[in-house]
Amino acid sequence: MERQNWYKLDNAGKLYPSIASTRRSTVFRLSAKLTKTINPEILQKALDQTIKRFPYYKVNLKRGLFWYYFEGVKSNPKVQPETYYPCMFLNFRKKGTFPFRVLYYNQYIHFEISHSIADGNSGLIFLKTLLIQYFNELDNIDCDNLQGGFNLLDDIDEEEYEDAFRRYCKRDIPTPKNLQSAKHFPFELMEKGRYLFITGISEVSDFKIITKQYNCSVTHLVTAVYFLAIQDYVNALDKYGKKNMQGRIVINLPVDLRQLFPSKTMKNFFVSLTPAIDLRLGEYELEELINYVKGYMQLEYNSKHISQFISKNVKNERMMMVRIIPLWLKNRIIPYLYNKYGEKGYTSSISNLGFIKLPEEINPYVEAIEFFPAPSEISKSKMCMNAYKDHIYISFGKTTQNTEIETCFFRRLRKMGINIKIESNYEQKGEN
Amino acid sequence: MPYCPKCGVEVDDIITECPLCKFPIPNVGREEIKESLQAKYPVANNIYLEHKQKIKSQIFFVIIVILISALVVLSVVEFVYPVKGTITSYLFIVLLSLFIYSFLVFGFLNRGLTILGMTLTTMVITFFLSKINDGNWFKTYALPLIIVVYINVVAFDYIYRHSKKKNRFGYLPAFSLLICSSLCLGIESIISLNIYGVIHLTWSLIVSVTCILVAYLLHIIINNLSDMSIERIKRKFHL
Repeated sequence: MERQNWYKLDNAGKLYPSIASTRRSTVFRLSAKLTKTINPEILQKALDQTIKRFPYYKVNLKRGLFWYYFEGVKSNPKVQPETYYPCMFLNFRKKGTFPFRVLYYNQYIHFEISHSIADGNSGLIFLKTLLIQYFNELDNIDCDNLQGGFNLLDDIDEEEYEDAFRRYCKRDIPTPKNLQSAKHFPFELMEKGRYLFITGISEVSDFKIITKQYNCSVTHLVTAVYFLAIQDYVNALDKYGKKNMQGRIVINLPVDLRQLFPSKTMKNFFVSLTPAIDLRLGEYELEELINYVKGYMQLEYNSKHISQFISKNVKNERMMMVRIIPLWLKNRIIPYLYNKYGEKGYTSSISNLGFIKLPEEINPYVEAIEFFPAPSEISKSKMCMNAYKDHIYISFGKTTQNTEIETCFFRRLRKMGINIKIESNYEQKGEN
Repeated sequence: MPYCPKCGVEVDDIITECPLCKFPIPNVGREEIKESLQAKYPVANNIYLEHKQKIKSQIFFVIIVILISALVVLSVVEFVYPVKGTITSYLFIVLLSLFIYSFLVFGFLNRGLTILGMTLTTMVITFFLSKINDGNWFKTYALPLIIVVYINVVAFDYIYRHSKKKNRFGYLPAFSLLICSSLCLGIESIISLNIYGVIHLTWSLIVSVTCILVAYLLHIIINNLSDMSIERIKRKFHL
């Protein structure tokens, strides 16, 4: 039987093509820094091989009457030199545009992919497979344990392009309440088309000392410090600014569901948890915040509670009233609803890809792996983090030039004894 | 490795100011390292600006095709079926001016040249229009009015660009009112000079005083608004 040549968008992915814009590209980035300068021809060969194993990514977005869908294409994606700002708008509604791009610059390979087709974890599997294939083409390196990457000779499992939200949706359980609105950073947006990164790189061992002291995980610690950094920023504002920022500060924490609900899906499969503090209630201390985040995660991150979010999302999508609205009308309504009920509900977000491992054979040739968030108009500064080898990479993606939050955050970490190296794509004085 | 004395964070050898607080990083013994280090990010282009320019060129092309087609039709009408009267002359001038205005509006020249180009185009058009209907209103009304408008627009542009960068969007209504008051004074001066032979100001004085007062009020309000409120206004009213 001929393999399916078109794919429905998954429950979370359905939202993104409608809300994608120049400022909110919905494109996130995974980067690998190699020890040597990238060879574009070899990278293209590796991509040509890799994409065969991911036919559900070798697609173009098409308009249906009621929903978008992805249609398989014969042409292969091309690697491109990096020339634009990161995570830029992918006009993948245009014919012939893939929902991802592979870029190279000096020692870096960047994989930028739209959230409409994949989440961070599935994107990471693609990048790992691409790297394995790149080194295979470059130096004939064969890897035994692929550490999550795909073997190009393996058959494609139907589960890889399933909508896992549908599989795990329970129809008869109560759904959680809608998010209340949160405070947002009052920073001025940069001109359209610009997007800035600030990455803090530190030793895993430095973090371990602190997490051991507070008996918590790195995510708990970083979330707590982020809350404190926002509090520090608000405290330093004048009385008008303070008045405007006093209120609920909510962090959006997307969690991978593959650990709670086994699935091999290469599409989106995450929900967002939303720990929150209210600055009107008084000053928060680090220990208090760590305990709060720990307690919150224990209460919320379990299959029963997460099932409620899955059911809510799927029920919303499956409502007959929603389904019969024509796509052109959906494209006008969804951005409004997303602004009102989606991004309004949180101040910033932290996505953690955890500890990333590569096959031992290629490990020495890959210096760093980093993860960057998609730009957003309302949540002007968002954070992504991951660990690779001995380092933790904490990256902020910003649609504003203001750096007060990041300054407060990294200064807090420095005061705790964590050494940090900052990298950024900020234009230095004298640069064009 | 160099570090920021204010934030305590380390930075790459090629970095000259702290990416967090913008504090200058001391430049000690870095010249040799600079050449061996490969940059992490390229000097990035703005994809949006390129995309915008492409769309602008496409729209301009379509307008030009329409205008040229209209000119061809008009020429055929003029030479094959000569119509008495001045209607085709008017249409020729309008089409040619639309051609020049479209070129200027689509921002292919810098701002100063665009404003100057528009002024000169308007002068030429009004000159020919006055010639067609044998009037002398070009010298008495059109030319002085165009000069007054040009001076006001250039002044507005200069003030807007050189005003305080922060919140300059908020000053826009106040600037507009000031320009409006100056424009009214100019218009009434020209009219009264032509009718009475002397400058006699009445209604424009009332408009000017009101505009100046409202502009001053706006200035005070804007100065006392928090960044958050200005951001909210910008969000609600952005064009």
